[in-house]
Amino acid sequence: MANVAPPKNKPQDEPLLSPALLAQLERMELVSRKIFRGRMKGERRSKRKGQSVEFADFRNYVAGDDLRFIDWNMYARLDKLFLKLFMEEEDLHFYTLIDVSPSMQFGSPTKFQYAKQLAGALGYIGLCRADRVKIEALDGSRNSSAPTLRGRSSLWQLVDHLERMESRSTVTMTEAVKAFCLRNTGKGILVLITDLMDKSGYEEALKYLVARDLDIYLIHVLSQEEIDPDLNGDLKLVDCEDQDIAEVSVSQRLIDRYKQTLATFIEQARDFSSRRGIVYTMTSTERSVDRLVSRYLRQRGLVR
Amino acid sequence: MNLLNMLPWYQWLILGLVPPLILSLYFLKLRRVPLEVPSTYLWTKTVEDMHVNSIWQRLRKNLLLWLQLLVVLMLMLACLRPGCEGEKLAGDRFIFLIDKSASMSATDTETGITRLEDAKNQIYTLIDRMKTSDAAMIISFSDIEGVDQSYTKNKSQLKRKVKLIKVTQQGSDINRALVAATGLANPGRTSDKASNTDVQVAEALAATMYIFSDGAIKKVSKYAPGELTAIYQPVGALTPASNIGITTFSVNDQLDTGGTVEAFVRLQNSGFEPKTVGVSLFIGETLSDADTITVPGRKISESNMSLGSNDRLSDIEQSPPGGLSLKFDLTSVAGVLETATPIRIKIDDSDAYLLDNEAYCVLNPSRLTNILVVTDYNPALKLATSTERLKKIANVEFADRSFLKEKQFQTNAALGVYDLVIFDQCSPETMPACNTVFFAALPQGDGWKFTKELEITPIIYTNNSHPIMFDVQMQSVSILNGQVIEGPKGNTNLVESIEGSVIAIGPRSGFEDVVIGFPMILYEEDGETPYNTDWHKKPSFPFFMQNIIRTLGSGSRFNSLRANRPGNSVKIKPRYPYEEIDVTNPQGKQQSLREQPNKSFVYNQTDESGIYSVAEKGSAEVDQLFAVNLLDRLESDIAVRDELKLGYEAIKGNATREPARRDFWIILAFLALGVLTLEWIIYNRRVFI
Repeated sequence: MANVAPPKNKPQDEPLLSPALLAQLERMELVSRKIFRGRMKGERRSKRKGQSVEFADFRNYVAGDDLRFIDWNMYARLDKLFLKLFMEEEDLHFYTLIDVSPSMQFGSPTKFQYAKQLAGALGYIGLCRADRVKIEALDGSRNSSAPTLRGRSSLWQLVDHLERMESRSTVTMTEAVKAFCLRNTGKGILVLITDLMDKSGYEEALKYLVARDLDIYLIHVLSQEEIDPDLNGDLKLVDCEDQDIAEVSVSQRLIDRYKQTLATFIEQARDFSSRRGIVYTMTSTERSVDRLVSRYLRQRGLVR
Repeated sequence: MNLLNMLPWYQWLILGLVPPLILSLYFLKLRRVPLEVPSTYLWTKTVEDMHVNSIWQRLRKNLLLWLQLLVVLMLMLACLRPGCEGEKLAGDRFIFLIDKSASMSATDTETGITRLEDAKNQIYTLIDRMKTSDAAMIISFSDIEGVDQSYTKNKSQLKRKVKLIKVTQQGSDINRALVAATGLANPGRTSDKASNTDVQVAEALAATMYIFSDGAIKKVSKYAPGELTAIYQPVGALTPASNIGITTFSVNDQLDTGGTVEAFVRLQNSGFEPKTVGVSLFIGETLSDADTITVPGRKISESNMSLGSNDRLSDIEQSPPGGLSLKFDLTSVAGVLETATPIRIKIDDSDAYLLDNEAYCVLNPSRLTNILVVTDYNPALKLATSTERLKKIANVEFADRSFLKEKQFQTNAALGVYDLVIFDQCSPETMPACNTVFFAALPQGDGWKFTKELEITPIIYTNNSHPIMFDVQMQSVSILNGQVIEGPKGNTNLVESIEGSVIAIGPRSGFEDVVIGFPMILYEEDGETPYNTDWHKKPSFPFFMQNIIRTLGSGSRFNSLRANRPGNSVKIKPRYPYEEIDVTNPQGKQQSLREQPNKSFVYNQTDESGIYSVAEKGSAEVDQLFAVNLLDRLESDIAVRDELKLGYEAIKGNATREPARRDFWIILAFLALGVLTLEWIIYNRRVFI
């Protein structure tokens, strides 16, 4: 590996979340297609009936019920005791999983940097809406160091956590997802940011997530050099993860065939996701995060 | 097509190792540049089907390898120097002399095209084989020659000029073409022998002259090639083709036959075997007579046939073509003739040379010739010009010398009323617009002079080749007194004494003047008129006078007697003094002519054989017709000559052709270069792996 040419990357000294982006994100909120039970009082409607001001339903009184919720007006009219139920507002679990395999270290900016920016942006939206935000690296560790954050004031923790995150994982995506599922039991929205470049396949990992009955969004990040490779000559391509070698003599025909293969790969991923209720979004690192969030993810219903 | 080994065995061995080397290079592992990528997952899937282990599948897709092998094979083939028999053009300057005479229209070539086209094709091939530094020029010739293209290295220009050459209906006279060719090859020479200012302006450069002809050319008396090398390329069939052609077609002079009008036809057969053909005579458009005749073949002896590679006659002169004469009686037709009528003879046979299968003649209504004899007393002259035979063709007037002063003479002379005026010891102040004969007097002008007095002098030479002196024997004629004549430029001496010319003929702006240096009668002071010569007692005098009247007095009763050849100019003298006339050629093309100062018209566009009509400008009434015929025995004898006699030099046909290889290795080398370029383009565009 001594002679391996380094990938062409831009300097990554840009701030993770710029003030302009933060101002834009404050006006948004995360949208779940499902209604989940939260853990704490929040701003989202819960499956539970609770004490909000919003009327939900009536039910018959049974012994032991809190007399404060009896609808006396109904009793006066019908001579029966009915309990008046109100909507409960709870918080929402918002998980973001970032693929931290070495392949994410390519592109300009790197796919990993892009994933962190995106996770930060979405996390901030969640924080602003008092959701329980958790951003985890898919590194397969049993004990995650990722904090569960809540409230706008936790922004600095979020950023700090993201900045400390490194891409060095060597476990497969399936194992990493499995570990995540074991650790976390909460329901909510899950955004998986990955390049899907796992030779063992991504299907198993997605199936695990689907089994958790989460509202899953898959954001497939590809760098420009993967979408339109600018290669020439006779090359020995070295896989950065497993050091696998592919020898190619690059020609227009090969490039065309590569693009065809990539298109098929993306199509398969989209197809697989949509069959399982996963919202699939493919993006390039060339596309800015604010544009992705404000336009593409809004179109797909993750934010509004 | 054959191959010529150019390399020794060890070089072949090295060359033979190149293709396996190229092949083995393709099996060597490429030194690839390592490049780290996020994942080889997609790449592996992409190149999966390209990493086929099978050698042949790999080779099948490798276009570059095949192209490289092709280049090497082409170079190897080029080293074998493939080639075929061709002709080499030795030298670097060429002159192509092309015969465009009538006989070159014969279609007896192998491919059935005309000889001229065949010659052109041969020239195209020679031009193609010229090196880029070679220069060539093109001269075509028939009766007249023309330099179609001067020396140039531009091959396409040469070909274009060759293509423009068209066959003519003329004979072939190579003399002037040779003068032009040798003059250009040897700049020191000149065609103008009288010029003493001709200086050598350039170095004589050696040139090769290719003569494309069938060999039927007029005799070349002088030929000095100098730096020129002549190569004769005979064009036409190897064996003399059978061709029946008309070589003579004329209508006789009634003067000679006592009123009978006959058309004479002579047919010539240039083939070996006798041939039977039908001959038809048309008067106007009506078939008048037809006959089937057998024309005997070429008279040939066994010894005259060369037994070499071809059956060409070794000496064509020794084997004259067979011939047959025919005669058609036209007296009854001529007797009722009111207008000029064309007559046409036609051979009903489609042979290789068609131009001589038809001939034309014209019967014009007769016109009496106006002759004025100005003499005071000359019984011999009067007698010789008053014969019954002459009266049939001429209207002879006699007048005294004093008539020359009269206005009537001057007017008639100026208007061209007379066809001939004979002045006996007198001379007019202004020369009449007609031919003249002077006895012991000189025409006006500076051209004629008496240079010396003669006394009893014998005649030593009579120029009997001139029509005026035809059958005139002057050796026995005695002359007492006379003078030696010196004529103008271009004059011809007809009779010469020891001291000099006594009878001469010279030109005068379209007319001719005959001057006889001695008088017939002496006018003495005492009134005596003794004879100065005994010529009047000899038969030669009436013959002389008859020749004078026939030759100079337009005594020919039929214009058909005039031999007009294609390409020659025709002098037309209409029956009435028109100022402008229209001449219509056989194709119907009309040309207007203006009267020349000598009361005649000159027509030059006689390119085709046939009947030409003359009419007053704007008038539909035909004044006269005249015929133009090639009637050339040389052209009708279409047998191809095996050798060409130029002066004292005989050039064998084909003998100097140099068979040589025509190599294709250059083409192969260029192809290899082209393939190499293609390979380079493909490599750079990387269309295929």
